[in-house]
Amino acid sequence: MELFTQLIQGFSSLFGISPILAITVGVIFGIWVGAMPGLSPSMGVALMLPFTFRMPANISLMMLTAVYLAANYGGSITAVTINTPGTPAAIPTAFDGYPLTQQGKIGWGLGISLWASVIGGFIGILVLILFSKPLADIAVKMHPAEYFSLALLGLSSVASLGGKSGIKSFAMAMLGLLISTIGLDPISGVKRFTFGQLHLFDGFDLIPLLIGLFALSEVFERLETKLPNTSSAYNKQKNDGQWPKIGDYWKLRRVILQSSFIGTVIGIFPGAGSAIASLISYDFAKRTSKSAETFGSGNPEGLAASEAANSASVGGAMVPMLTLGIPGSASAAVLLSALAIHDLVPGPMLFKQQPVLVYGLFASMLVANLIMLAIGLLGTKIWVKVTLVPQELLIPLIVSIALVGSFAVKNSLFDVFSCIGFGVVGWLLKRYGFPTAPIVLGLVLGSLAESNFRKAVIMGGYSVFFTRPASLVLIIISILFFVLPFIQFHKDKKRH
Amino acid sequence: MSFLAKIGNFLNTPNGLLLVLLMLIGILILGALIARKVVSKYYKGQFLTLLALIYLSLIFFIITYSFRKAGKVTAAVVPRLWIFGLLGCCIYLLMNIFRGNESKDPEGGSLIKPLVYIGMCLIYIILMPFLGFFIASFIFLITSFLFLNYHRWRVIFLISIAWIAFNYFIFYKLFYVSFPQGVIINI
Repeated sequence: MELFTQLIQGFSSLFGISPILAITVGVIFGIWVGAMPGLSPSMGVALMLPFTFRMPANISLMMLTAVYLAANYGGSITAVTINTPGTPAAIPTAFDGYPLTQQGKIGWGLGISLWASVIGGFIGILVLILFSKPLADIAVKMHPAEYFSLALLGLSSVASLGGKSGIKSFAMAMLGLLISTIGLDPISGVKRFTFGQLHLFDGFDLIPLLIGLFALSEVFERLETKLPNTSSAYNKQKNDGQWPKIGDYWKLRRVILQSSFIGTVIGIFPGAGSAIASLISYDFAKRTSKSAETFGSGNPEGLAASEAANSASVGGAMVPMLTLGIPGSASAAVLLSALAIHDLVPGPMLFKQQPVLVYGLFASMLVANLIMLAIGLLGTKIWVKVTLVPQELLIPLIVSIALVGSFAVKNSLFDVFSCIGFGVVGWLLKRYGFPTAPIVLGLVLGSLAESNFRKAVIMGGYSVFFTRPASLVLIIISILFFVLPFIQFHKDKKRH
Repeated sequence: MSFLAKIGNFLNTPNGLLLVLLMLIGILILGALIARKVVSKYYKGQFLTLLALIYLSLIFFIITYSFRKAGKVTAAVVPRLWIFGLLGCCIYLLMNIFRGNESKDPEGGSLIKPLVYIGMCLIYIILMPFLGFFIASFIFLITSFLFLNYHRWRVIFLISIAWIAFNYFIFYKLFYVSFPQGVIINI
């Protein structure tokens, strides 16, 4: 009852032009930042932060949280339209979103990603409102062994990312994991595989790699064949003008709900992040789907799973941030600094001393979701026009966006060269049947897996992974998830 | 320091990197010549890819011997784990190729156009510090459109100018991205 009263008070703080305007500006900016490759949600929140110094604390937090929320959705726009995930969390979105565009169903891709994001966001925020304290208590007790097992669970999804050849997917994941070890060792400071290059001390940055492996490799692949004649009706697969109906969204309810739950739970664990949330929920959706074989070639369930999870993880990441002062993600870390600027200390006292601010923030997140839906619906009419642009115009623009985005990460030409280099590598690997998505999976999960593996062994020896029940359960599930597709494949082969 | 550690130490240097790359090219050329005799023409691409991956795995493995040993879990443990995983997969796939059990190389198109365009991208990046980001990007966009046989000059100029303006106002002014100015502007 007290919760309900506080929520009503929170909503009442939204009455007025300033809060709604702040949230709207935050959503528009967030969508744009998320869509641009090279700009991450945390970067968007950090860029907006100085503009909010002079604002009241509640308005400032509402605007910044709106940026964070909307940026996770924004990454799906470029993932669906031009196969360039705007954020790492939108990687699985591209797996099924872009094939939908190629089939002339861009409306489906954009519509499903928008609604899945909004519903996932709502569920994440509801969990935040109802279960902040108990969930934070669980999250803070996580041992490095459990973090490693969680990363292993994420890696076990590799078999579902490579189409027909699980071994090729596994090989590429190993390659991604190996690439993630390049740089200074975080524990001992040893220079690993840096070849005397200063730029490699931090390893390869994820964003230029992502852009190269997805966007540039696709461009180089397209150039192998003759581009369609521009004097004809533009691209071969013109948009069929179809949008999903309510019944189509209703069919995705199970996937959206389960992925929202997975995304929220994973978002709660500090350091896990929305990218891991979307990858794990994509894999889980594939395993529980009746049409698993169509994942990766335009299955709406895959798209919905990824977007619901990455949006739900926002609410999850706010849980430890607000209750314990431990950020659940990089963007939450920036939000923490916003709290500090306004002399607010996260923790149980914040809920007691500033209930209107806290619950006003929760209410603003719900409203931000609605505004994101409205702006998304208006914006999709514009994004759809991308399919009408001739490839001779689109390709140079995609390459330019890719190279500028790579440069913008650290103002470094090395990142641009890395982007082109990985674009070439991705193109050649795909040309000879090796999937590139598992490389990104390995890159994303590599540092989480390694640092927690080593911490766990230092703390409890190699047996710690099997003596801690949660870790053991996650490892068993990971092994099953990895092995089952192979067993199924061999069974099917014998049957035929 | 053991023999492998000394080699690993050398390979982990700029000269070592050059040697690794030259050897990679040599191995790929040798591999292309051998491929005609040992594998079917339908697996040439995969064979060369696996050869490159095995070679790089071995190089990385040797380099791990040069990592300083400190603590319970050294810096070499996890990379070696991934290297063994990669080597295992590559050897398994090679065996499949020799037995003809693997799926054939997918059909691809001509390599010339993508290679030329990659060259153009590299020239663009190399010239950027000299010409500056804006001039280099303007030239790159125009040459890209022409290379892809688009000849509507009004559209070409409009898009190129709009893109430069977008980068200037958004990335340069709003986000403070320090694009290379170029030697010309600095003079």
